[in-house]
Amino acid sequence: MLSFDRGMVVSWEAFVRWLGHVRPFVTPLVRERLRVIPRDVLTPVTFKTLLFPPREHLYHYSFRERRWELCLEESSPEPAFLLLAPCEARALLDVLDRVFLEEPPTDAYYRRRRERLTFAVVGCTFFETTCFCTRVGGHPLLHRAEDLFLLPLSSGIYLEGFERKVIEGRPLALQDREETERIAASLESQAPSPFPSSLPEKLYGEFESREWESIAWPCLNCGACTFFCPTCFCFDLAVDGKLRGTMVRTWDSCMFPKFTLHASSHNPRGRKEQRVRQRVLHKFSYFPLRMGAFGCVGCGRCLKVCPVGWSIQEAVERMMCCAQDSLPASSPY
Amino acid sequence: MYETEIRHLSGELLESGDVEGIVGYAPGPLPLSAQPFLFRTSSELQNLIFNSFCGMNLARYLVALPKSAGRVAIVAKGCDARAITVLLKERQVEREKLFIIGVPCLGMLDRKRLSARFGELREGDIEFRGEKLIVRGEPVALLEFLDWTCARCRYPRPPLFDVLVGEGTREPLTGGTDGLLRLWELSAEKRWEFFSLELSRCIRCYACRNACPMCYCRECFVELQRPLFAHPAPSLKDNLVFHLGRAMHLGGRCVECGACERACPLGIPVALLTCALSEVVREHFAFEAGVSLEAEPPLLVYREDDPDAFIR
Amino acid sequence: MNGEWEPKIVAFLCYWCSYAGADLAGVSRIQYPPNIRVIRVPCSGSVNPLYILKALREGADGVLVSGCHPGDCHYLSGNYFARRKFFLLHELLRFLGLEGRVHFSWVSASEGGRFAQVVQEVTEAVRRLGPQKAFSEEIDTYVRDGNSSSIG
Repeated sequence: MLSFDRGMVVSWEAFVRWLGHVRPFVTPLVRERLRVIPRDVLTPVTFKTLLFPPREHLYHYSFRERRWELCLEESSPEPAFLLLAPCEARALLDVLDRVFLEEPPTDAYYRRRRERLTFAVVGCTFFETTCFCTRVGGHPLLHRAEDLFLLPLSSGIYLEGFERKVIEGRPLALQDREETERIAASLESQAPSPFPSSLPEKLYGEFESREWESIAWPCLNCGACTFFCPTCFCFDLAVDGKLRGTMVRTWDSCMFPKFTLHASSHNPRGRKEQRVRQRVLHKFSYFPLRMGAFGCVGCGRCLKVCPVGWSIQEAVERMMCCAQDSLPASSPY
Repeated sequence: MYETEIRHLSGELLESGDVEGIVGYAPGPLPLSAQPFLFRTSSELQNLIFNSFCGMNLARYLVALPKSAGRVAIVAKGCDARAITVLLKERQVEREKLFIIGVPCLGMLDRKRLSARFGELREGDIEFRGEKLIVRGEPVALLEFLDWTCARCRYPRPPLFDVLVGEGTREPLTGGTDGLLRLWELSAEKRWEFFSLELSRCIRCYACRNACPMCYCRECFVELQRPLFAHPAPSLKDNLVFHLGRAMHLGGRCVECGACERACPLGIPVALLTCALSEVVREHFAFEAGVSLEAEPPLLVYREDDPDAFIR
Repeated sequence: MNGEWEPKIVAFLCYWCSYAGADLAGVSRIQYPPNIRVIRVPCSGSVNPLYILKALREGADGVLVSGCHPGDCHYLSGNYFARRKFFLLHELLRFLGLEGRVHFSWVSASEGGRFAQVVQEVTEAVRRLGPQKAFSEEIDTYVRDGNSSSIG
């Protein structure tokens, strides 16, 4: 992963020209890392928007001549090319793809968009204050061998997996290699240490802890964190129309009070601390225990957008401290 | 700025058993940010702060307190105290259960604008000397970095308090309605162009609504499905209904604190709508929300000479 | 229909005055544009601003709310409260640049001719603005750049 032999270095001007031809979508995280990106390059609110839009039409229906008619939405979306940060690529591959595509029935709407989406991974040369990808099994330079990979250097941008006919580059000079080594070393020295493998079980053991109440206290119960989170995938189905209309899939948030409201009017997560606890446990306990990977990629977007600066990392750390003194818990599965 | 006084006073209140907790601000996880916090012990009070990044309206947390909760103290800037007054008037909180620590406020700073100009900022980079803003030793134009709702604020001094920790106050920096006036000067087409662009970016996270102390309905009109006023999926048409409906529900109740706009993760200027109505109420009904406990809310009274020209 | 667009206007008429006035216009055979769809309400004060927004959302090109003249409300003061409420809504819509689609009037039970005139005026005003899209058209916008264009 950290060998830079397969790629080439391209000048910033050539790269910006290439951006102009290809017109990729660029996520906000990548915009932070590649300041040369021109203003007119589109930055979706989150890359999820391209695969799992906040407003997706599933089918149209109408009641005519005493019959219900359904018309499935089958339009193919435009192909999209996306520049992702490594944490976002992980979110896409390890979480979203698995949730929507791994087990049948797979999600046809997601699949249609996913098939027309290609992406390149843009490595990070620094950790932001909000980043903690290495705590959850990620890394700022992480990418698969088959991925297109980019890394900003001072002399230009390092590209891997790009065909020469697409963009012209030169092999790495000695100073480029030295720079990549410096970057890798600096990242290693700053990398936050991984969470222990016992975290999922330990956290679940703290389910009944009173500490959740004080952790949850400042939360406003808006949906900002869940909507900007690259791994959150909860949705709601709501019809728009009466005798004629559309079945719309929209983003839902486990933070909303009515998220778990049953038809019987019972709400198992009617209190704020129950919802906040669930969010933390889902990402750091249930999902890893079931699927083998954390449901959080440590991108830090939730903290950036939270109106009250609530930090999921801090919440996990606080509960880990509580868990130090408790007996080991059994898994919920 | 008043941090020591607030901490000292809070310590006394906790120790005497007068209150069960203090609703105030603690340092946030990011540099130069603040997180609302309920301080319950004197050791927790070590973390109590008050600076120009304490933009959340703490009154929002009062309605959420359980009925069984005892007395709490609350750190209240001018706008927070106005919000508390509205909540008292609407009987959502009881006066006896509150100890209001009034804090005169010089305004909240926009961290994003500051970082855009000065890069990553750390503790100690920013200070106020009197009314001047100093960033890394250099004086800068305060107006450029204040939240616009703070720049036009008429009540930096809390109109309601049990103890006022200081006397500093100032006049509105922008002649009252500057940001709004500029918008009113544009043509209707330009205004629609601006608002349709901004409101179409809304993803309906409801951070604005949830940050507002006056939005305390257990069931918001946007959550209704029968009748459906605004479909939950984001789209300009439904976003318009949400934001206009919310602005109407805040008519005569908005205290112009700007917490809604600060909360918005996309930086949509939602406070423009609610504050525009506050200005209309001020000008035509001679009323300002949260300034007096006695004044009747404007939509619960009427006058024979109310504006009528818009009616055929 | 000949395919040319005709404005659809939802009219909330208070039962005691405006609805009666509309009825009188009908009985007196006074012609007025057929573009309004009437919803009878007990009082103009009972019209929730959300109803007006909903009418627009469901595709109405214009909305008219009509009640008794101030001082003549069957419920004594409903229209006074309505006046304040609708003033706020009117100013809010004007602030957004959406003026001209939502109209208000005072029409009494004996003003059949005036009702017709009001409907005429409102229909023309809405016709000039064209079909209403702001509240009813689907616009796919959330892919746009997440940066703000604040007025500062």
